[in-house]
Amino acid sequence: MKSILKNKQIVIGGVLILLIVLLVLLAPLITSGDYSSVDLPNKHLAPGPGHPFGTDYYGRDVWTRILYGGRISLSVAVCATLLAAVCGTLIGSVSAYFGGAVDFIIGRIMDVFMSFPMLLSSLIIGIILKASVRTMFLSIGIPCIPMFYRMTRSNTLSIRERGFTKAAVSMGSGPMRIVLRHILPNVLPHILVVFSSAMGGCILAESSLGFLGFGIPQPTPSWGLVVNEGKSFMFQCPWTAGFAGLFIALTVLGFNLLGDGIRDYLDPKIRNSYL
Amino acid sequence: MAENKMLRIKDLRVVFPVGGKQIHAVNGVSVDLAPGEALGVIGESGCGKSVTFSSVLKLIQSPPAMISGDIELNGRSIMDLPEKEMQKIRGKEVSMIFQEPMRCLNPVEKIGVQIAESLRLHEGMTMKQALNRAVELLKMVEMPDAEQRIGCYPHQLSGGLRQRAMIAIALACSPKLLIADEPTTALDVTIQSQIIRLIQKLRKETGMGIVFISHDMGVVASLVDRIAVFYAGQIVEQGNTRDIFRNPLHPYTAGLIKCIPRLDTESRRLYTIRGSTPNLTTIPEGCCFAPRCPYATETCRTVKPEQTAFPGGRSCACHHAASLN
Repeated sequence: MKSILKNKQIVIGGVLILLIVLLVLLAPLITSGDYSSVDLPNKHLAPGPGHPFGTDYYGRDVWTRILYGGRISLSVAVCATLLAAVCGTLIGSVSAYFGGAVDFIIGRIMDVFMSFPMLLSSLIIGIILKASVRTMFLSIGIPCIPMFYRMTRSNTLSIRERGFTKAAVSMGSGPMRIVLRHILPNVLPHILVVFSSAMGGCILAESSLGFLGFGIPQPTPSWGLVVNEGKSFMFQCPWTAGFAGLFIALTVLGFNLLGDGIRDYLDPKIRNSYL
Repeated sequence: MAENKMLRIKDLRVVFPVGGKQIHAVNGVSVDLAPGEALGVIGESGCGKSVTFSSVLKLIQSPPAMISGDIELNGRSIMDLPEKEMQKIRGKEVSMIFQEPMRCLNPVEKIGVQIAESLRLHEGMTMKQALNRAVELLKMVEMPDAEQRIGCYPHQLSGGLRQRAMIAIALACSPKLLIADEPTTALDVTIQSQIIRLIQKLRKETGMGIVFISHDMGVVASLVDRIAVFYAGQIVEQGNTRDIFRNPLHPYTAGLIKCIPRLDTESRRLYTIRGSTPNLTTIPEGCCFAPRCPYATETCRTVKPEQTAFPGGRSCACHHAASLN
């Protein structure tokens, strides 16, 4: 446990994520809590007292909207990516380990998914299911599954052929045990890398969906939505899109650092260099 | 007679279909092993020795491989045993050690946990009990600082220590038969002799049977009671170690013995058997060694030699076995 704190990437990434999560959770205490009421006389105010991040086109406080928007964006990012990672990893490892017809059928289904642009599959799922936050997770998470599937499958294929899986079979381990104990721990570092980059993609996907009208229903803000609204006034008042973009960037950076750090921590060969 | 055999392989044939062709990796191998006996298996690369004994644990995927013949463990045929039953045999009754100790250990798991795995699997031990036993096992395989080493990852150990750890894993559940598939090939000579001495010692202590697969006659000589010489997926000669070395019946065996470098002769050039191993996609009509054999006659090329018994429990598949000496 002590050694985990010696990994700078984990510490910096973790602190960053923790700060953002705290800000988002404490939103009712540190903002006015009013993210939706229109105040036209005060539109496009520059950052200043009362409005630390300024106001947008409708005169709404950007600081409040960003903190409340984080609730949607963060939970969508975490839940959708987790959903994709868990499903993709399980399907990928099972597909690769058993091979044959199972692998072929799963592979073709994934090919179909991959042949659509991600946004299009998101829209299709969004249309089929009723609009809600849960639908949001599904419509962003499901199109990400092939990413994890492909990565897990190819790595499982190579690890399955390594001596220690054969040795484990010869010691009487069953297929489940081999996948869980011997293959997945060796694929995990690769999953973490994809995980942290998928996280950023999911936050942005949510904003694209919001832009197309398939996101979280108005007036609830999300980071993507705030960026999109601010985009039209990028030159008059850059703070709206700018601050929301900054939060997205910091979150993605935090998860990337955390992911890389954990990957190094889990690798026994690298971990020793921190001891 | 069948009762006192621990392992009995009868007319085993393994065929791998590869790209429209068929590779006859094992062509009718019959061999058996009494409890506690040590059998040396000798042959060149690709002669079917590993495939034969991997079949004992059913490690060969079938299909695609086509396996026929019969394998009995303690009088029970394993050919039709379901996978679940095989899992109980693997590691518990029969276990195996492999050639490359680097690749056969999981790089992200501590040595102790890997040894504990089969104890928890087969003996139902808790992690704590299993780890305590792991320390004992590491002491048994003469691993220095066993208490500290169970917390090591494979990359922190040297090649010899890794092979010791592999042996500890294989011996965890005190199997009655240990199949050692070229366990010393990847190690340098001094470590090789240490490992062989260790296996000798463990055999004395546990009384387990050993199948020692190697392509090095010298390595096997000191370790085993009996030798089976493989060539092109068949056993060409079988007999007691001493008899085989003193008086090889098959020209191939004689050639192999001649290949061992000796310190007591003047010759500078090492002996080689001319030619190379046959292509296993077709089974030759006559003796499979005939194309390389210095004594081959017309009969050898057209008629397949049968396994014939010789005094002293030996057998040999050669038309001229009796006359060559």
